[in-house]
Amino acid sequence: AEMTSVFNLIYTQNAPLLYKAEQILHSTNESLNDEADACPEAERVKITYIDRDGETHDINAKVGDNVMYLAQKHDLDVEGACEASLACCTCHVYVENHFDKLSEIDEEEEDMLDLAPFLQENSRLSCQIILSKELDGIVVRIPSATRNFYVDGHKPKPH
Amino acid sequence: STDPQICIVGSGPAGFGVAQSILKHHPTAKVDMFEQSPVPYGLIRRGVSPDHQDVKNCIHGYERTAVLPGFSFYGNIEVGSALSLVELQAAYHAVVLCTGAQEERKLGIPRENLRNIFTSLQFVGWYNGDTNHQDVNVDVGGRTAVIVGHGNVALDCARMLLKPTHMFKNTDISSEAYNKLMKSEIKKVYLIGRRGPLQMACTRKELAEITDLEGVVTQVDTNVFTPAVNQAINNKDLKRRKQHRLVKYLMKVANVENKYISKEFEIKYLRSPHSITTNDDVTIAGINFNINKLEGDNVYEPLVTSSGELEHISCDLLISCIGYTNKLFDPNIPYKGGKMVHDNGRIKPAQSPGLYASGWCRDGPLGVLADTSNSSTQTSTSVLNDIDDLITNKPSCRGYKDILPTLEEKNIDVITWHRWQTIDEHEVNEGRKVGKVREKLLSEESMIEVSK
Repeated sequence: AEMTSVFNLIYTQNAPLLYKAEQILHSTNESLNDEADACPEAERVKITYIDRDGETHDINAKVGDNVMYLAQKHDLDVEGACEASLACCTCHVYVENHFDKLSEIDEEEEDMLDLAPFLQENSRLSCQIILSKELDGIVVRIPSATRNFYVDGHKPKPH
Repeated sequence: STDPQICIVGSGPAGFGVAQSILKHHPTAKVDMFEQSPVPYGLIRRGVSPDHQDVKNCIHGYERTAVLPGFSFYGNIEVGSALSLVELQAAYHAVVLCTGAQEERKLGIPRENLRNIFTSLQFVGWYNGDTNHQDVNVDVGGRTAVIVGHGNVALDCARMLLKPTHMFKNTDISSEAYNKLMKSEIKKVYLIGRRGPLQMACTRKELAEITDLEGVVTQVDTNVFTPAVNQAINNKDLKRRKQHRLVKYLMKVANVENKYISKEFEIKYLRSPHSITTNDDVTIAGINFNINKLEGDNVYEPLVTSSGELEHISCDLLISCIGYTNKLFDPNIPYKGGKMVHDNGRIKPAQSPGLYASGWCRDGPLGVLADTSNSSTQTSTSVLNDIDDLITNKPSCRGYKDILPTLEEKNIDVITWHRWQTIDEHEVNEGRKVGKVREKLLSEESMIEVSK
């Protein structure tokens, strides 16, 4: 059911990218997932990131993982300049489901969201989201603020 | 085949953002960063307040970029004098301007050159140890300061004067400024803007950092909270969220009775600077303001008209925080409305392809780190999309090798990343001795000397 909802989400919001998303939906980075796979079932949490290009990344994570640091560990484009000290908004994401299950947003985070480019109702700072079992299957989208390689139709070739 | 030779002018957040993004996506690219100062990081070092150290955590990311094999830092080189843009464009496939918006804006009113009147660039530069602004002689022996402007920089300046100075003790504030502020007699700080509360450019957070201070009472003329303002702030509008939260907070903290008052913070609206007054033709005695009215149906962007009345406010210190403007970098670069004309970071008209810009020099001095990051992502994407064509068109570019003869001829003492690390270590060690995170060197000469 979770997979279907991810598909629907991609399909409705980013139809042209469906093909690409389909290709990678099940491909996860095995070495990075080892740690999470090794922990007991009760502590495993699945999270899906949708990157700036609309591609989805399914990741097996653990209870207690920080959504910003987890993204960085998996080389996803979440800057997190202030290192989770609530002094910037460069780790801003859209929480596409389970939004109501997230911990209450405090004033400091609201202050930073005030400055976030492309703010939406489901905006949060990813550094303030700590995974719990309740959040299993959470989908977060990285705001696509700028034109990117795919939209430009060109990906640079290494020389 | 040739590896891309890319040059970035400026080492602030925009420059490092571009470098980071290019090297991430194109690992064989050669990225050379030129900086006019001997030390890097632009406004992160010179602009961010000493009590906002968390904001400076972004430096850790810049340090990770700086040690990548493709990256080189060349400090103490001023593009425009030591090197021309033309020379850089001949040597590099792509040149990315990330020079910021560092021209100060003056009030443009009579007697602005009297003693104890500063721009935010001077005042912030002074306490932040900016080598360009150590000659300003700030006198905090008077009782009243007026700050013109309602943005976050204005609040930074107000906070320096209202917050107990000992709270800056462990920061990287310049010791000269710290010692002087310890003896400050300033008891009243006005924050004065030309429009109303919904037009304040500052954030709730910055305001709260002052209003939360013990012993500081916040005064606001509640007449500015008109029925229209009251109605507006209860509308749910994400684009106005920042202003709505700010005004709601203002209403909460305005004129709250305080048991013991050590300092007063008064926010005034609808006042445009008219003229400086003086008793001795040397030092400021006060400032006249035109009293404005807000008109029109748009509560967010009202028309500002002068009522014709003046109000005089006595003060001993005046700091104007009315923003920065872009330095016209090169007469050939097209500007419109304070911004460079560009296409996704490509500077147009492209008389010479391969010229790009990012950050405040391109977009004007607005927005936060996240905006600059977006600007840099966009520009670096354009560079990478164009780079194959640029290499084809300019196969002979050899980057720094082509620049070196000019630098040697002009006897430029280039500060490499390694030399900066020596300066960095020195500053951190000197700070440690006195319990500070850093003791900044206050002259370019001392920086160069330490780095040897």
